[in-house]
Amino acid sequence: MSSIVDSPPPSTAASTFRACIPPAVTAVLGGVVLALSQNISITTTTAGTELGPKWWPSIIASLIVVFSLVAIAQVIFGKPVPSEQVSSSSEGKTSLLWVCVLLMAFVIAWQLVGFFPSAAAFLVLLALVLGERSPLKLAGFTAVTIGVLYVLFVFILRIPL
Amino acid sequence: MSPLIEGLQILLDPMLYVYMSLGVAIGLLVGFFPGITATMAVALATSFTITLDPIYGLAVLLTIYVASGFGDRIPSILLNTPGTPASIATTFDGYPLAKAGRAGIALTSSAMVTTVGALVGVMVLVFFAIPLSSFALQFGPTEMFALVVFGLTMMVGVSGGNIGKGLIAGAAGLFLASIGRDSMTGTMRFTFGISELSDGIPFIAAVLGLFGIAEVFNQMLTRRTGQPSGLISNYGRWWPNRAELRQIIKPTLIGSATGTVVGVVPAVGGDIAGIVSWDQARRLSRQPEKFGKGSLEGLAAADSASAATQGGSLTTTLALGVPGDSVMAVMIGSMVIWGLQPGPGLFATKPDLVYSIAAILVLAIVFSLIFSLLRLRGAVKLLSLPPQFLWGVILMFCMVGTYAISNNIFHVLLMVIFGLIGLLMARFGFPAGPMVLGLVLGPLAESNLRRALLIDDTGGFLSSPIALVLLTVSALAVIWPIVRNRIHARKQVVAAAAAAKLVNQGGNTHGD
Repeated sequence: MSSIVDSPPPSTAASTFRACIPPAVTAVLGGVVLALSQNISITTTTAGTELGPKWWPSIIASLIVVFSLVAIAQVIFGKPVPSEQVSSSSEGKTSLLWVCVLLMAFVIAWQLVGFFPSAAAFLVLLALVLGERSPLKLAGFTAVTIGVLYVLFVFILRIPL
Repeated sequence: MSPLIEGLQILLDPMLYVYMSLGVAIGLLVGFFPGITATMAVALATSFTITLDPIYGLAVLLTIYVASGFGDRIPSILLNTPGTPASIATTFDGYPLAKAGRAGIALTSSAMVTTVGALVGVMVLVFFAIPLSSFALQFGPTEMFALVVFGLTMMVGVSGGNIGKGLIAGAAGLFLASIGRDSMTGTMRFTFGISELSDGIPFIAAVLGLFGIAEVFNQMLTRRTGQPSGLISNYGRWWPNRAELRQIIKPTLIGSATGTVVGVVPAVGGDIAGIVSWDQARRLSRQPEKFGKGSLEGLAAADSASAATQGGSLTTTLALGVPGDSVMAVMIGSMVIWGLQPGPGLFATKPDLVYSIAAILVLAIVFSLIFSLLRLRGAVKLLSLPPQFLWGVILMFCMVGTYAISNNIFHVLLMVIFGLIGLLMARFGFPAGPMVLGLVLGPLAESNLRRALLIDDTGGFLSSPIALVLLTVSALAVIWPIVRNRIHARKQVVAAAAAAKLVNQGGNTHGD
């Protein structure tokens, strides 16, 4: 099925196989959830009760497996659904990777050095990664964004950041 | 003096308008920035309204509540990021409309239908407050579960043509909702020793991640130098023409009615009403295939419904003393401090109050409409920043908004993880809508089903007419689209065969 991005036209066996991979992965994940739900500890108050804490997650996990099999059947026997996704670019993949690294670094720095210094550094580095090179624009954008955040959250809403 | 005249006298007080203007400004701002919810704003505003005269305090809080329902549509339509959870369903058609160069019409239509929905909600408050609330009180666990099942059938509707993957996403949402402390036994489930997960997956973090962050990531991933970014730059016309206005009348009525009923049910808010109504309008539309791809009808149904819940929610709060939604839960606290105990006794001791509140709500709706139409272009300018800056602003506001709700950095981390999950889902064709639906309805479904089965096994479902009707409608809602598709496909085959036969006959005639 063609909902996998960057795949060739959906008529070949290879593309059908590739389209089966996402629902197959969800079927496996459903199986993992089912196994984990059997390990939920039962207290003395719920022991012997069918409707205990593991009952609902077990049903949901079973449903995930069943629906995944339905989705695989749809891929094999159904009509191919044309994808509306734009294909990814190598430039985009690199940018996204850097942004994820920056986000993680920002979350760690937030706890270590506080919100405002780490937010300022994050905004500058993010704009740099995404292609901005003008020092004036970088400084202006960071100052305005930090200013708005301070006024809105700290000054008006009184939320300590 | 009659309670009506006494209640409306408040409109002659000029100070009321000053406080309401403040409320509108705060409410629109709150709605506009993703992550800041109306509940949070009302809770924070309580600190300075508590010292005011009760009617001024109520005016500020109610105006924030109403205005946030106007402001939250803007980022939903332009960025695919719901300003508050009540505008989740706005993204279904609002963002596709904006991408198709019709952002102007989408924004203006949204403000108009939100006004209609909110006004219908006020009418319900005035005329049906007590009877409707009495009906909602009949909902026990059995009826509530049947209502939730009805809500869950919408997974089929919001699956966007891929029912299999939509159902997987929905079931995954139900699973995510089961993470944390079991509400009935207190047993921890799937927390893996992480104490922050004991209260479950934070809803705001999940929604902002699945919609806002995932959309930004997706735009980054598909970016090519020299090509326009995925950001909206062409807004097209701002005012809908007559045909478009005619098109949105029916879904607005469906949305207003649905939102009002959903709003009356305690603890169910605009997020669920928007999704329910969007799906109802799709089922009743002549062009259901356009829903989710940029349908004005879908936008009208979602926005009018979430706005209409406000009146219904206020009705339940005032008439029963049971909070209609999370904002009302906060507001009840303020009302009690002011000496206004919500509940059946309120209308007996202060019959004029319902008219004063209705008058404040109508004024708040009109103010919000005017302010939102005036500042739409200003808001749009703010969003026309180059992508390297706008993406930074969106990421920052989503993170700070998530942190502000819980003061917990772990929730920020979870939001980023949900952003990556949302990106993977988008790239592999899994719709995010059903997952959010599962996350919203999961706790209600589980707790009510378990309670209903513990009380009366399956007998409760057979003896409750409300539950029976809801479950029958739910079954039909699942079966009918499949049957309809089969009929449609068969008709197409018959039509194609007839056309081929005609062509053959024509060919033979020419041949003769």
